[in-house]
Amino acid sequence: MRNFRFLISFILSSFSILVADDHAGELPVESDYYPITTLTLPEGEVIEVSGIDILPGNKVAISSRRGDIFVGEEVFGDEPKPKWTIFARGLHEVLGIAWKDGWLYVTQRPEVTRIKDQDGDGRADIFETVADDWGINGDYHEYAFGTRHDKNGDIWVILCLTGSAGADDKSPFRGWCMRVTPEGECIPTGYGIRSPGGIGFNHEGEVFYCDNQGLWNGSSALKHLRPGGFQGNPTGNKYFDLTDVLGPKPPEPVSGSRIEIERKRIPNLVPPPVVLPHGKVGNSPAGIECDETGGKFGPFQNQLFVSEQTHSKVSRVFLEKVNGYYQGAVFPFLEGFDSGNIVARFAKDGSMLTGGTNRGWGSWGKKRFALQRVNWTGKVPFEVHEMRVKPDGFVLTFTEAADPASLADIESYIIESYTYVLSEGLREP
Amino acid sequence: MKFLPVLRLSVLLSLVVHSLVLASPPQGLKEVDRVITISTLASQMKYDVDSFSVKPNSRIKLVFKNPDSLPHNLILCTPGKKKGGDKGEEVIDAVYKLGDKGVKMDWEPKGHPRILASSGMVPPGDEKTFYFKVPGVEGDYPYICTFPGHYALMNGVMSVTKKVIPIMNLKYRIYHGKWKKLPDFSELKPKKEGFLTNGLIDITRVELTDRFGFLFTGQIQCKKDGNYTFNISSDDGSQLLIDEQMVVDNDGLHGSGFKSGSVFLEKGEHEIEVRYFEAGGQEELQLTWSGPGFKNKPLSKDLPKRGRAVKSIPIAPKKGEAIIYRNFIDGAGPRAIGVGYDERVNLAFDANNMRLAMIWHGDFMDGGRHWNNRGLGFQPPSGKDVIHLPKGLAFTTLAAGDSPWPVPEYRTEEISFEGYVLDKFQRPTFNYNRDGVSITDRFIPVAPLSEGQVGKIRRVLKFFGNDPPLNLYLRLGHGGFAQQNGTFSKDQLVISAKGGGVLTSSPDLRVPINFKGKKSELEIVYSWAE
Repeated sequence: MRNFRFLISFILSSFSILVADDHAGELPVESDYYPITTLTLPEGEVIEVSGIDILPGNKVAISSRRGDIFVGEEVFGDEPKPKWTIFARGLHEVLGIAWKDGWLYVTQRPEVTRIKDQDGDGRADIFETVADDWGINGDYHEYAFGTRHDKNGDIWVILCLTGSAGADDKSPFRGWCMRVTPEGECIPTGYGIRSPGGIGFNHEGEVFYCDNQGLWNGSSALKHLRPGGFQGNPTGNKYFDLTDVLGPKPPEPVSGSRIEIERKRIPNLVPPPVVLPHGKVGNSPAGIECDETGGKFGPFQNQLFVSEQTHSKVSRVFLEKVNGYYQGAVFPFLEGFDSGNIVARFAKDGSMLTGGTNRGWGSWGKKRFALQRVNWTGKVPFEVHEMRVKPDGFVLTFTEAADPASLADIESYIIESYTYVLSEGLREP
Repeated sequence: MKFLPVLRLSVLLSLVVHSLVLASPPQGLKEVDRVITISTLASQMKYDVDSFSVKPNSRIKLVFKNPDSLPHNLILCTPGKKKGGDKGEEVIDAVYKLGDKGVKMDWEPKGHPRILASSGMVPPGDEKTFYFKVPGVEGDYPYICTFPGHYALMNGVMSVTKKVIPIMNLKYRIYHGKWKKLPDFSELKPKKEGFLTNGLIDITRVELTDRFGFLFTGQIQCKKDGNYTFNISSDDGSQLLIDEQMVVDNDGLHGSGFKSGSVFLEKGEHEIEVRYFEAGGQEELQLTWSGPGFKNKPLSKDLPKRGRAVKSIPIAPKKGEAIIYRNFIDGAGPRAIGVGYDERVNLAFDANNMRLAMIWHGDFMDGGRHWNNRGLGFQPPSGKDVIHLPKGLAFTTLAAGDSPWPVPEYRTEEISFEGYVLDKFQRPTFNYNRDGVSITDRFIPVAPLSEGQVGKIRRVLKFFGNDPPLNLYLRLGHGGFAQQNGTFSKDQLVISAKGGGVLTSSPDLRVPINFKGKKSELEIVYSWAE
């Protein structure tokens, strides 16, 4: 029965049907529950926000694709007037920052670096390479996304394929996930990645990433980085020649097959917990952030919030674990952000900071870059809260009590199903 | 001798009331919009400019030079009825009708309705300047030499158009040859030459796809005094000169990639020269310029396609500071760390090989390639006199000082990069480790002694190892160097070193790292030859 998890994706359309009784005439809008506040950035700077972390003293660090890191104060409150100072400049397209023990760990294209302001003038002066055991050849697509530290203190790095489709000899471990230990060891941890858009943890510390629709990815999906797991795109399998950490090189999947069939041949193939139907949920899923605010952000504790670059929005993902594998459902959460959402980060006050850019890949939000904040007003939106698969159907729970008659009415639900072929082609649902 | 032409023109003026031709700047033409120089080509029966463009109602000073051994004139005619190919035939007919009087009248049917302006007959070796106001009507205005039998070859077209002509009198010369860097075109004979009336540099007039070169010359018009920036992307090498001064040096074998240079220019016309060669593979030559009040105007027909980096984003250090740019830098690899110093010297460090990859002076880098759109490719340095230092492994142990240096690898496995520390001027000291020997590599810019000179780069390397190797070498330069008074030079590069062992200057410049106990220190100064 687990097959449903990835063979079928669900779009529950327009929940307003269910609440028509309560809100006749005037439908609620998203900003009634989750207003978006735009945070001003230093004038004259182009900060295509690509990483956010919270620093001691409730300061906020943001990194940019241009390779700068700024630190802001007074980012929170009703009428925030953030004050920004430059912390570091000139890094190589930073896609992940994490504060730990006085150091800011940054994932740059070629390495994970930790940086520190030793002399206390507010600007970083020590830049220590922590790990760099992967390659780049100069292809713009050779992105490296890094997490914050996991419970072991490791940073997980995912490496986009060369040109999103190749595995260059000069660029070892493209399409792989590397785990960077506090000692600077770089452990190959997973493979089969195509073109990631972001990475993050769930509340259990498990690592997930979003892979973008393309070769061997019929649609974009939220994927689980199980240690040793294969994510479906065999392009990077050639790098098994460089490591025996994950055992011998596995067989490659057969194009045109189905995930469940291939899993019998390739036991390490990890079925994607949630497919994000291309064009419907979004076109470019990016960063993943888990709500661990303890209710400060509303009723979605432990759910994942996925930034979506093209559609300038944030989606919500509920996951459950069945027989050791994750499965779940994606729900529209909030749209209308200013630029293409890349990252989100929950702050101590329970607000969610979001950042993004539309450089290179257009977005619905037309600003070149943006840093914004989402607060919960305290009003609970009427939403599907959780959605579970059972052998005989689905179990839905809602954020509020609902009218039993409309719940029971089959007309309240619209269900479409998709089957995704495991295919080497660029666009084959 | 000099008076005569002026006198004659004065007479002419009294005859042709409506003509706006004057020998000395008259009222209203004291300030001209354009100066155009047209010369005859010795023993070729040709003008050197067969077309040029002017704006309607602009004021023109035309200098007509005649180095040929025959007398010639230049008569500018109004557009004829015949579309295309009109060479002022009615004026020629009128010249024939002059008959015997022709010689006395200098073969000019004065007062002919189609004559707009005339130089009068210019004797061999002489020149004449005249002024006129361009009519307000757009069109092709032919000019001819009316000396009998000349006009069929000696003709050209003044195109009157409101369109802005980026490069005036744009002449191209095509050369054939196989080069690795730009040859001296002045020593070569062009295979083909001509003018590009649209004023846009264009390399499509060559029949070959490989092994050719172009020399473009013309004038650009600056409307204001100010700093002007020129951007060139070329595959392979190119150079851009303004008033015979190098502004962008993009020479050598390479793929496309924008390189820019800036120059202060006074209001008025300036000579532009663009040199280009293509060795093999893809060919490309794209140019734009920016100046006071305008940005990235095209100077070439071929321009960056949509979606490709266009906008220049100069990266410059703040006053008194250095600035870092980690990115794909052409010449320093995908893991390059560019450092620009306020002292106007720059370097790029290759963190894949722990080597100083390049030094240059002037402008640092342009972020336009990587900071627009998706950021494709490698960006070369912006400034001048880029010196490429040896590729591959910078440090190695050798059996003897002249043993073969290891073949370059894409990435050195022997040395690990450990990062850098910034001082209060934001200047990095790089740290790396080679088999238990820790190396700190500090670069210090040395400002030039006076304005107009070029600074230097001082480098201090410190080594520390518990069990250091006895035969560790650093390679400083590629190929043989000439030694004089303790400095080593090759082409533009001048190197001096102290603290290491005795340098070997052949097969390349190497310095042994001499440990005293666990430590060694080496100081190197890189400078540009005068």
